[in-house]
Amino acid sequence: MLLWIIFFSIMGSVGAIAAASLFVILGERIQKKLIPALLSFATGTLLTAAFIGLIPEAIESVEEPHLITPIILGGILFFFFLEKFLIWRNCQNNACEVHAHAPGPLVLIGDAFHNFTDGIVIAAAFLTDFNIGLAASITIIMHEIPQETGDFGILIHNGMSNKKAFLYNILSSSTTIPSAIISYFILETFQTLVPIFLGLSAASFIYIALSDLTPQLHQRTETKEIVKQLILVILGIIIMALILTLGGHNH
Amino acid sequence: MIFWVILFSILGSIGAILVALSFLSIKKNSQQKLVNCLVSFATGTLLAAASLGMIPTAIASSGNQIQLVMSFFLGGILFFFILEKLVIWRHCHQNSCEVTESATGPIILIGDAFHNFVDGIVIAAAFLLDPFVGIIVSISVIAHEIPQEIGDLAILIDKKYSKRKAFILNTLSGLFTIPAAIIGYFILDILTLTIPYVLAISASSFIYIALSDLTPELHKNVGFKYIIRQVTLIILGISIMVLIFFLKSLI
Repeated sequence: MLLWIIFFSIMGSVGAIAAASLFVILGERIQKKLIPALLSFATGTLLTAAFIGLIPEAIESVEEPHLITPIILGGILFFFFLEKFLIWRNCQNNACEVHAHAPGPLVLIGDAFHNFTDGIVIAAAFLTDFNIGLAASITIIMHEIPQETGDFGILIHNGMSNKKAFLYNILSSSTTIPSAIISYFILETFQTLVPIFLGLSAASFIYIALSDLTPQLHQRTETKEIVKQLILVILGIIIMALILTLGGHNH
Repeated sequence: MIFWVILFSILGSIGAILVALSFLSIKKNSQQKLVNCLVSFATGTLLAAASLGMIPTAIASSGNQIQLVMSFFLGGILFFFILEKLVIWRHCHQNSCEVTESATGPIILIGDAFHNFVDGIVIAAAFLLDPFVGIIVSISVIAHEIPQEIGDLAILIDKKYSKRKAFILNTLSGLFTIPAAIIGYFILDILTLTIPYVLAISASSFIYIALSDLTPELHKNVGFKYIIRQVTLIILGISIMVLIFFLKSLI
């Protein structure tokens, strides 16, 4: 199981960066087409992984919904405050009204923290069940690719060379790997913590999908774009539901 | 029980509109402030009602059909996502807009009627399962209906409706809560088996509103003062919900 955890934490960090740098090389025209598609797809996978995968699994392992849902609520609040804090720090430094462009260092610190969390999610999910681990990992990869492409855009926009942006981004992203390995050993010893981390992981997935991605998706109002988004969100849901239900994990 | 269902559906519809109307008579400046406070408070109550009250109750009363309840929840999120997309699409086709801040009168009223109809069913379903969950749900409905109706009234008046006409039309569309609650109560009382799933879909509407509609709104205010105020009010909203649960455990 540790091998899978290491493999997918590499895919979710270095792999996503590789895909993102490919997007940077391909140029803005292709980026503008593919990134929104990935965002829609990721919205579907994030929601499904959280609601059909992580949350039921967490509740089943403690057999008491009342113990898990407060953790999810706490997690959502935590991410709300975190985003508030980031917006606030960013705006103190830049006296901004809209917070479209964060400064370089903040992007990298935020990314390092985010990827650190991803590592914990991957470890907790694989320790629960292989399918859950697979579902969580694919979800992380899917939403890391547009995320990292965006980070590249901001770093290069702030005056970094392509090479430098790539190096810094790889460094900040690779926090996924040690975090996954450490989490594996900690959670394996303290199995009772696993449902708690599943709940927190679900909270982060829900928050990202609903508070970050959905408002972004709703900004596009052309009919073609709406149809495309719906198809991709539903596709994300179906693929995730298939991963979660097939493969011998029965309840 | 039907008495409480009717009482709270009146408070959640006509009550909220009356409060909203009284808000309109105060100064624009303090109006903005109060609305912002209410939105923060409503975010807290919606999240807490859904995660601490509705989801655990739905799971428990379904006979621990966790996966099924959560599937309905996910379906609900998708439904509200598509619904918002349709509203944005229709609106933008009539007005060829880019930003969707202001919607036209009829759409506001139809949307409001539908929303209030759903509120009524939510109140009925919650009371049928557990009076305490019913109270919690009703408070969240009232808390988020007030800023909602203030916004609706403001848009209608902005669209050259007279104050009186805006109030009458808004009350008419708001009234849908009451028959929905009564009809919902009697139908669900027969179809008891469906209540947990109706409650799961209701919970998804609460989470969707709190995270995809209200949270981005809150993140637009970046001042330190706002952050403290928002965080305090969200926690206040959650605390009141927790307090009600605490009272339940005492009885």
